[in-house]
Amino acid sequence: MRLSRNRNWGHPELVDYVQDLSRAAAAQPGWNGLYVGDMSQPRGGPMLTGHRSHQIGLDVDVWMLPARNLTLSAADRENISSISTRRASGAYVNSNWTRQHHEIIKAAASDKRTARIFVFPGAKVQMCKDEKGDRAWLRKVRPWWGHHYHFHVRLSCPPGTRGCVNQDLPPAGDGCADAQQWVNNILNPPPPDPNAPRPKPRRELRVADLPQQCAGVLASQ
Amino acid sequence: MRGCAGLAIALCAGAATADPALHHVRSVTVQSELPDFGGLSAVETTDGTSFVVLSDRGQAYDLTFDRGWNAISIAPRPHPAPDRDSEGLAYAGADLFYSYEGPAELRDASGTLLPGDPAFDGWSINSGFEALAAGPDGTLYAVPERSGAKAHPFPVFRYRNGTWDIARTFPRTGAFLPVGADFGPDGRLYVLERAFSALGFRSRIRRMAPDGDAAVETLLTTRLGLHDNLEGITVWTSHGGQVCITMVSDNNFLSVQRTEIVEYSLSAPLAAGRACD
Repeated sequence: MRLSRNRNWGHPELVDYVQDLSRAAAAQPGWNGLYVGDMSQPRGGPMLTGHRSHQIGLDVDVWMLPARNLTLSAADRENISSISTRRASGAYVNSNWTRQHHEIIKAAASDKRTARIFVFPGAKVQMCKDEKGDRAWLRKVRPWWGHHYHFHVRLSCPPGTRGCVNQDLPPAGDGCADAQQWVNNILNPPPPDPNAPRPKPRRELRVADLPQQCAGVLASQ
Repeated sequence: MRGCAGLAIALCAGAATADPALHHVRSVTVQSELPDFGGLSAVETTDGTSFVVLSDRGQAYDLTFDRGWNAISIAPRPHPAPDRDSEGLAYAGADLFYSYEGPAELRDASGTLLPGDPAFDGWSINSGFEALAAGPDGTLYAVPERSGAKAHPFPVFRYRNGTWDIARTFPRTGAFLPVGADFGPDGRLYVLERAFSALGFRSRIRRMAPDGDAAVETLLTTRLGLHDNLEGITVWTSHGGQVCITMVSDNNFLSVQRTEIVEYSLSAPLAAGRACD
């Protein structure tokens, strides 16, 4: 989707992963595949708008809109809207949320290549309630702001990639109590911490701030 | 003209000299969980992502627009006169100013009334300042919805140094009446006009120097029913350097209408169709 953004590039492992996940999604009733949002720019790197991650070809945004029509034109893919699956500021799922979303996120998280999945807290809590089988995959599903028109998958460093450093693993356990706490804080916000440091405004990135490999990319033609 | 590098010279020259035309970029219907949301009458942005919108029932909202999935989130924000029909909004630097109908008046963000002018006395109740814009130096420009008679041009009222004068007029043509205005990065005033009929709405955008009597350019005239009832306009520059126009519609809280965000770009889309993103 949104081909004009030129963010449909990824590590070969990510492309394989997206294709595998899309086949799993196509096995769900009402889904014929996935609508895939941003991955990375060609050769990665920071973007002027939108993301702080998605820089190394190992992140993908997957739309919550069920992919029924797989023959959308480029113009369609520029203009079509995804759907929100949340209500009450993300404390709960809304009527757009289905068991198919649960199964697709479960398939995404159960894949060994996946490091983390980000989705709004109400969705994680709903999946915690609905999952009656193996719960190990829930550990990788992390509540985060936004992420109700899409979920975000981050892969682990593929074997043999020099310079790629994995994040720490998510805390042990299914993380369901944490997600419930996040929901409780949406519904009954705690008073602001008077001692919290003021967020520092971010200055614009410069090439010198980036890993040295980036200067090589810029210098190449 | 880096964008021309890969194009045929004739195409490129044509793009540079042709009449200005607006390119439709996207129309998105806005839905909200907030019970009072609707009736949008004005919009302002500085970055094209975060917007302030007003309703004609005296509500104000922060609206963010993520064009990746056409996701729109809306949160109420304080309004300096929550019981009034607010119709215009303008950023003068970082300071917001609000215009109202019935009676016609302007307020700053703290709710303080700006001085009026005897010229505004005696206007009909539905004839306040529909359109408000701030020039690069903070001078405010306000346009009433009525000109008094079909043959009368519209006055552009200017507020600076504590007093009002008329900076210019522009002709009233057809059934169009001004409903919104903003300054572009070119220092010109962009005026959104609306024509109403029983069958629906038409919109027009005209552009002009904010003072003097230079000619008025028509940038856009829409056919009946193409968009909802567009009432607010904001002009901004994208990261890619395109001049973009975002408009919002007043659904009049009617089920047959919709709250719509409509965007046009003043320059042709970039490679691969990218525009105002």
